[in-house]
Amino acid sequence: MQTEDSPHDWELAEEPTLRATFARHAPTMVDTESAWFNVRTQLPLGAQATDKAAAAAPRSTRQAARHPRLRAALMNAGFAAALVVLVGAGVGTAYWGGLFGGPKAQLIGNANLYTTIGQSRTIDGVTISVDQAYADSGNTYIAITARVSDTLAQRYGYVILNHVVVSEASGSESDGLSVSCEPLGRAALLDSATIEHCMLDSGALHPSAGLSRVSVTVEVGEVWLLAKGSVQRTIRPGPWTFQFMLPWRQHM
Amino acid sequence: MNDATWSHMDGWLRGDEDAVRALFATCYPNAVRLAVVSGLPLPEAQDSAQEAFIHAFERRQQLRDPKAFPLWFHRIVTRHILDAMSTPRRKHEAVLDESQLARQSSPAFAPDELAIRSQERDDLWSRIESLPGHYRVPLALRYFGGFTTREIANILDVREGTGRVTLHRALMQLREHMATAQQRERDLSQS
Repeated sequence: MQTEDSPHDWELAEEPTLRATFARHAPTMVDTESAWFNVRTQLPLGAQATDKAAAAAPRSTRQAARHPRLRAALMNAGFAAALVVLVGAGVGTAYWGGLFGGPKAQLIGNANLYTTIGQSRTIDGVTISVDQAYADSGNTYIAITARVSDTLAQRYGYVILNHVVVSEASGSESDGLSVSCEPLGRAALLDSATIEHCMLDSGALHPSAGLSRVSVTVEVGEVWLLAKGSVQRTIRPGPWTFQFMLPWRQHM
Repeated sequence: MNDATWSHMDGWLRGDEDAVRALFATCYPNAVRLAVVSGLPLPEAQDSAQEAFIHAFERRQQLRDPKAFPLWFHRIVTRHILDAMSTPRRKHEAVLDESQLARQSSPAFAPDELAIRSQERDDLWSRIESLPGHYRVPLALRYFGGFTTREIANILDVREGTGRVTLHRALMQLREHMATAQQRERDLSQS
C-alpha cells in the first residue's frame, strides 16, 4: 500500500523491528487452489455446469462450502472432497508446483525429491492411481490420477473423491488434508480422455522416532459421479486403498 | 495493487470467472496472512478470508471507484477478522514456532548478534500475541499491511484521530518491552 502520510515520530524507532516481526510470523504458503474451489461454489458466476455439480454434491460438501469452518472440521476429520470436471488435461501434466501444492511442491518437483509409486486400483469402472508421493515433517503430498471407463465418461462429467484418509502404519492420520484437482481448464475440454489429476496436500504424518522411512496408507472411501447436464448422481463405493513406503525427510 | 490486479478489476465487476479467480489468487493469500498475524489460527484465518472475498463479490456494485478496491476489500477482511476474534468459543493459543522450540530444547543457544535479534523478535511476537484484538489488528494493518494511519482509520471505520490514538496505545504497550530488548542489544554489542 502506498504511504500517503509519513510515519509519526512516535512509531519511527520501532517500525523496522515490527515490520520484520510481523513478516516473519505470517504464513509463507497459502493454499489458494482448494480455497478457490470452496469459494467458487458460492459465487454466482457464469459456469452453470459447476453450479449444477455443486448442487448435486453430497450434503456434507455443500454444507462445507457454505460454512468454511465446517469444511475445516471435515478436513481435519479426514474427509475431503474435490469437485472437478472429468476432462483430460494431458497425462504428462506436472503435479508438482504451479496449481498443485504451491511453491514447496514446486521445489520438491524441481529437485525430484518425490517417490514414484505407480499403484492402481479399479472398482466398478473407476480407476484410481497413486502416481507419486513425498513426505516430510511438514507435509505429505500424494499425486493421484483418476480415470473412468469410456462408458461412464459418456454419462458423467464430474467426480467427487470422498472420504479420503491418509495415515501411517500405526494408524494415526495426518493433521489435515486438502485436495486440489486439475482446474476447470478450457484447453482440457479439447481432450476427450477421461482423466484427472489430483494432489492430496496433507499435514505431516508422525512415524516413530528414528525411522528414515514411513509406511503410508491412502484410502479413498467412495467416489461420486455426477451426470453431465443434470443433477443425477451415482455413488461408487470403495475403498480404493493403497499402501507404500516413502522416505521420511526433515523440513525442506 | 499491482498492474495485474488492476487488469482484473473490470472482469471482476462483471463477474467474469477468470477475472474473479485471478483477483482471488491475488487477494486471498495476503488476506489469510493478515488474519493470521492479527491473531486468528490458520483455519479460521482461511475461513475469514474466503468469507470476506465472497462478501466483497456479492457487494461489488457498491464499489463506486475501482481504485478504492484495496481499502474497501481490507475493510471487509478486517471486519471478518474482528468478528472471528470476538467469537467467544475461540481460545487464544500462542503457538510455538520452530525457533522457540529450538530455544527450549537447546539452552546453550549461540549468543551471536543474529541469534539474539531473532530471539528478541520472538519475544516481541509473544508480546504482540498477548495484545487484545483491538490493538493487535491496527498493528497488523500498519506493520504487515503497510497501511497509513489514515487508511487504517478508514478500514476500521473510525476517525483518523481515533485510529492514531489506538495505534499509539498499542505501541505504548509494546514499547517498554522493546526498549528493554534494544538496551540489551546495545549492551551486547559494546561488550
